[in-house]
Amino acid sequence: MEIGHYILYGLQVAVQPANLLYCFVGVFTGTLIGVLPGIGPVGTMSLLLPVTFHITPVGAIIMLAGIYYGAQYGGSTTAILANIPGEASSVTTCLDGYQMARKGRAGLALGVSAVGSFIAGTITIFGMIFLAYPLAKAALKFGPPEYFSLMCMGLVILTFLTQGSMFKALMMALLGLLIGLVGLDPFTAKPRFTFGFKELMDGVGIVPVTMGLFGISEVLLNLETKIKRDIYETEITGLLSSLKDWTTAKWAILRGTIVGFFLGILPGGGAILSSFVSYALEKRFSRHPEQFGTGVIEGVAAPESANNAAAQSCLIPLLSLGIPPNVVMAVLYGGLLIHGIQPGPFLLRDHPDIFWGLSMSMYVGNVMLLALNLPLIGLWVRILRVPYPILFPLILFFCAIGVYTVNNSVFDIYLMVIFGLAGYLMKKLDFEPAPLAMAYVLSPILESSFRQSLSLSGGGLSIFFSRPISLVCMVLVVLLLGFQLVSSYVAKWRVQAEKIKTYEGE
Amino acid sequence: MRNYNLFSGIFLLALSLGACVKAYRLGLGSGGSPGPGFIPFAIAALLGLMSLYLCLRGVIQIVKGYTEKKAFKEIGWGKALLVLILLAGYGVFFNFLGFPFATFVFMMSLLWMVGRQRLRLSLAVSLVTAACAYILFVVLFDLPLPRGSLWQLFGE
Repeated sequence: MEIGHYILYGLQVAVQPANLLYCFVGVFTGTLIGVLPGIGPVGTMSLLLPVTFHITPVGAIIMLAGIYYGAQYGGSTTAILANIPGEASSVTTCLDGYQMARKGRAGLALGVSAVGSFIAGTITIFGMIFLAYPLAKAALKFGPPEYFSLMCMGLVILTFLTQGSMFKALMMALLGLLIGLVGLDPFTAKPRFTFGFKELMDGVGIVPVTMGLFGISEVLLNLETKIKRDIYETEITGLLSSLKDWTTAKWAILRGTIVGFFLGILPGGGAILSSFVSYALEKRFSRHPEQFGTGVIEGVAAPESANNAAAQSCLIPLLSLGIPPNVVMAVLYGGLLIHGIQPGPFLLRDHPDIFWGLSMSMYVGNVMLLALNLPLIGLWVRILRVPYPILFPLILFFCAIGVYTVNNSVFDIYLMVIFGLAGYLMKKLDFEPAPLAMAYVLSPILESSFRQSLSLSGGGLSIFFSRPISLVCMVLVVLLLGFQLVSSYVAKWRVQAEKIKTYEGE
Repeated sequence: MRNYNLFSGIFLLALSLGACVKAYRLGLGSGGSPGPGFIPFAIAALLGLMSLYLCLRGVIQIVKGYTEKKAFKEIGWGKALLVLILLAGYGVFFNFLGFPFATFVFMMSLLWMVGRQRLRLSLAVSLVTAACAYILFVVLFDLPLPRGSLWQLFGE
């Protein structure tokens, strides 16, 4: 009964004309950047953060969240029609989506992906409502040691799940923690690592960091490769096609939604991981796995539903525990902090309009996307034809202006340039920028909860191992690190054994 | 022989050593009441140790004559550096030339020098961008963007 009341309240907030407009701007911008390869939701959200300073916190979070889940819808259009993943989470959609388009079934692929995303979004919103509430209530019992351990666990899981070396990902997380500590010490107000720059007293801004690491570096990388835009020319018909196709797709959508929902909640998870896992699972349990990659409908339905479900369920740990599970949520977290709102268990009590308004606006946003996306496919295809040499100066210009307008300071442009170079080199040297960005955002809370915990225990680290929730998280951290260490040794040992075998064979 | 583990390890080691020294000077405090330098010191020290391991791994790879596991994606210094210099230059001249003119020059140089577009097209796109951006950000949004100290000199 209580939840029903809140759902109605959330709907009231979501359908206010201003919030409807912000939701529309968010999902429209999200779809646009989803369609365009070379700029992702993290860069766009950072770019629009300064714009949100002038609007209400509810409007701001509605718009920023809309960009993320809107991008998942848009990414599929490029994947199906041009065989280019507009978003990293659409890589798997390229495999079967483009093949479907080549067989003249582009309409069905686009229809399944849009309707699948809508169904996944709808189920996830209700899952979010029923899970976030009890989770937030449980989190009220958390103290500084629990928060510290939870955040450590989140960071370690993220580094565990990143592509490439976990060792390098951990190094980046440590570097991110250091960058997050720049500025005045919260306990003594002593400046740390500011090097005499007054602009650094408040710390390194989230906008230059994320814009540099994800926006500028992506442009620099794209300039080196020629993006081949082989847009498949076909008449887009049969969006709703035959009943048989939908019967096949229906179960794939449901399975994709479940996978996406749970992987979105996990720290380190999100849209990218869930689309890969759901595609792999779909292929693994299919009666005809050999047909995957040739244009089967399940190969589009499952990952598209999964990435949309994950893009929404990852809001659960952010809003109820105050812990962003991935880098996109870390930007959203930063956005809420700028508005003076601390995400966490008290958010539901102190700012019910934000939680319930956002939940319901996501439903409204999903309806908007469904209504907008399919009729606008022609427009997206036309935008896709704009050559990259004309597009990238515009992206760079918007990045520079977006960064400048946060503090009206050119210093932030220089910071963005430095982080842009860092992000570019990191990608070249196989270092992942995501753990750095997430650790950077979590760093201040991680530090304060650690120092508070030490004050509580009188300096002993046993406090992290004597409380049940904290103990479980710490055990998981140790297990994950141990597993990684052992598995890397096993891999090395296998390589050695193979070499010996080959030598003996000769 | 180039070894990128060694390069990145040395860079991160130097960075973490510098951070350790800075953090130590801030004061480490005690276990029960950690000082402002306590956490930065601990993090930098851990990063330093990991960097040292990365360096060692690089040295061992060189000694054993291993090639890089993954083919290193060559750094395209030319375009990347040019774009970054132009971006920094945009920042430098932003206040001096003013928002509309600096935007025009910035767009023009990116389109013409980096994007290798035809001069006429570059001129047209840069002009339209600068004009639209001025109308959007200055006239409509009323953002406090610099008009340019250069033009004020002429005005006076």
